[in-house]
Amino acid sequence: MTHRVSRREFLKRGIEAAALASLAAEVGRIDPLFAVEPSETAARAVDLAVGTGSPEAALRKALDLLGGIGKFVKPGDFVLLKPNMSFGTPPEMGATTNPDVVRAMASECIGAGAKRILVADHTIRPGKVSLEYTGIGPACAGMERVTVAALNDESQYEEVEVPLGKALKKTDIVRDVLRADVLINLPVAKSHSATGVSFAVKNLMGLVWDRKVFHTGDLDQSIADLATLIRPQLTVMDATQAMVQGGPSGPGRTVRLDRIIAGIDQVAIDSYTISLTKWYNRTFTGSQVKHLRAAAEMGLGEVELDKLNIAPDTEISGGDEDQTNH
Amino acid sequence: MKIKRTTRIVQLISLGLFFVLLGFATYPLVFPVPTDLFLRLDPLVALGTVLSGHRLPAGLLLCFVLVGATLWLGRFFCSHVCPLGTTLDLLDEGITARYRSRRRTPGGRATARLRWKYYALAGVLLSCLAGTAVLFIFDPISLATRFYTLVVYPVVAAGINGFLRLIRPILAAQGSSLAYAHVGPARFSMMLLTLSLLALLVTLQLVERRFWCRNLCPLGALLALLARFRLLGRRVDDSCTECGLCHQVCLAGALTADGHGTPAGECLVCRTCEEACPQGAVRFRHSLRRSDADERSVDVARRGMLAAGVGGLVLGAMGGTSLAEPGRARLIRPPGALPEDLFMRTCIRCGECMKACLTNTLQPCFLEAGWEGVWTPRLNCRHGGCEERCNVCGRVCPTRAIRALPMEEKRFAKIGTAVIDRARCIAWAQQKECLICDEACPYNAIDFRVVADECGTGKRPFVEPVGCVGCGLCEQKCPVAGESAIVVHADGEMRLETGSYVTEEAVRAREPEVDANRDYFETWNGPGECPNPLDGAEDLPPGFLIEE
Repeated sequence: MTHRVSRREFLKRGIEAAALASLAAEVGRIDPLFAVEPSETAARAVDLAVGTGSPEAALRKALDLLGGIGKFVKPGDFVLLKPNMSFGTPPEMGATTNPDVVRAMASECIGAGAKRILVADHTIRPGKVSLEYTGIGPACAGMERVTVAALNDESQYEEVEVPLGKALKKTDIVRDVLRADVLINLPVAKSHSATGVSFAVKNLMGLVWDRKVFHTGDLDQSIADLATLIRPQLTVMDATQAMVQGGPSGPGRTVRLDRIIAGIDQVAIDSYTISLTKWYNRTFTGSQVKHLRAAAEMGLGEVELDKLNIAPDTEISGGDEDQTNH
Repeated sequence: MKIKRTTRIVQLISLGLFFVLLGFATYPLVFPVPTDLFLRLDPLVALGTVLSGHRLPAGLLLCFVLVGATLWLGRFFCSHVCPLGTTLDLLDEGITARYRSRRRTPGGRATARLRWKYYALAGVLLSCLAGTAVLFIFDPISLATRFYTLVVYPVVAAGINGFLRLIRPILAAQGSSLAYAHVGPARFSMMLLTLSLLALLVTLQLVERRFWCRNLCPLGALLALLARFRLLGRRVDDSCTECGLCHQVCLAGALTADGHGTPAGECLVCRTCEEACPQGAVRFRHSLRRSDADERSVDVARRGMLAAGVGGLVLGAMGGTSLAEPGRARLIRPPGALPEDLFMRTCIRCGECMKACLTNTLQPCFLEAGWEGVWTPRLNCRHGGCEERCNVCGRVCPTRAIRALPMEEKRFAKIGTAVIDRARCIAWAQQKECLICDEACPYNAIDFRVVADECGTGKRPFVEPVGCVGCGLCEQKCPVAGESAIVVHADGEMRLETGSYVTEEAVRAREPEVDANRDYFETWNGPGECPNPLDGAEDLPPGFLIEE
């Protein structure tokens, strides 16, 4: 394994690499960009790993298929986990990441020797409410080295340039993103009234202070722009269920998927997730989602499923029975 | 001139308790901490609520503890317990004492002022009787609660947050969760006016110590009336040399120059004179017997009393005759607030609800509810919406002007209805992908439909008015600069004195969409069924149907 890089240095490299990639894209050859070092990407066997079963088992299986948590988290690391815990809704609603998934991910990080784990989000609802009602606060309570925090105070944010941004030129992001050794994105699969779906790439907006400018500007391009800046080393999609309509805050119709999807390429993960079920009673592909297409066009990931190496090969049959929450 | 040491200790403990309880007035409430204890001990609050609101919430019965204690000990509350009294003492020692004229006020004039507070009491009670509760702004406990909430709390919160920011690198390095702690939001309008009222009371101390408590406080007057029957009395024995030292140190300023007597009910029982007496001649003893000097009562002028009473009645009658903000359209009251008239007569303007409010949306009124509604609570939704999972405002309200609603009731206690200004909404007028209002809504009351109009074809937000509770989270989060493009109006508010807010219609309106076949992206052409069908009825005037 190569030497470790600091988060700041890593961001810089990511930006440079993205610049190269967009150059490459312009000459017609799109390279999926991954937030790991080149030697690892070269050696990768699996783009997406899909685990099934209980959240804990599914997560473990998906991580194993990627080569284990040790590939991403080293002893002594400061890990930032970014679930969606923005709302004051219970996990059954599907608007927020399943607390079992968050807890399991945190224990994996502890197992890998992480020095400190911060579970954080800029919540729409008051922090106390979000932590309690999403179940993420109680789920992580008492775990050693784990802190759950709603970052709803501007002083937790730092202004940064977005050198590759087309619509978003600068923004304030969570300061700990710059400090953490590892950023793990823990989105939940759900519909979104403004952006169609809210998966991994969209989940990064929870690390931004002023989200109003995203909406008053070009929302989809801004989301893609943000993804050029913030590059999680690992993304773990909570697709235990999907809120296929009524998102992002619900209530809405949910569909059981019983899957955890892990990988490095967020665009690929999102593209795969959208293929798992119907959204708003329609079938979509990743390239039909504006912000995913914009991200793919900027060379941030692979949106075409047939170009991906998905493990396990065998098509997993998940229960697609509908269930609705009241 | 220092107050007796043990009295000061009790004062500080009591003020500390007041702060702690006020601090506990927050989300989540810790049951069963009585956050409004001091207000509930206040017999003026109970009496005024009975007179103006014609109701006595059970919690206010606690005032009988203070009534009983005053009958026993006299006005010890004023010297030992009252948070306003202690505040004034501390500020006097810190500021006003050194600037006070050394020239002694002629005793007669100072004694003459004592009667003013009885006029104040008469004015407060008669204005309450006439149906206006605005004079509660002069209840000392209400005043202290309001001052510490609206003026001190935001400053303290800013200080704590500043300090936390300063030490954050250290906390973060230690992996402490305090690195992410934050107090607030705590910002209030009316800070300056609230401060001015206290500043006035402090300035009056340039004339004499405890000017407010001695001469103006209506609660002091009420307790003084009770204290006439006290068991614990001040006794001076024969060793008294009439040196007049006790007269100088008296907190109440009410001792006669010879040190022998206090006008009835004026002694604040601080017991400084007992400590100060070089002869040890002053003792506080239990007795039913009264000395002659004790029996000398404050000379309340019939004319003054009459003027105060009539003034109170007139002021009370004036309440409700002023024009509030037209139609009170933007006056959004807290969920569970009693019907407006009763609410205005029951709210004591203490600000406890504003202290407890999780999102800081509860702000004091200036003139939005008329002059008589000054310092009553209203929502400022642009600053912060009303949190769905929070019901603390009603639970901390001492007079139940805001009902203490269980969470399920509170979620249906409609305080208004959100209205979209389509000309300013960027989804409607500018074809932006926004719908933050939908994202913010916890009640499933905002939906999008695809609309084709002169601005183009796109997803546009719609408010479902039955499901909407008027919480204003949409108004807070709307990204349009300046005034929000979605605004809560009082339309549809439910102001129930009793009974349930939950309606079948609202429950149904908030249920999630279950239609697995609906085409969400079909262009919407208006409601399918018009409640006033005109089909084939063009010739008929409105209100008529074609005969079947």
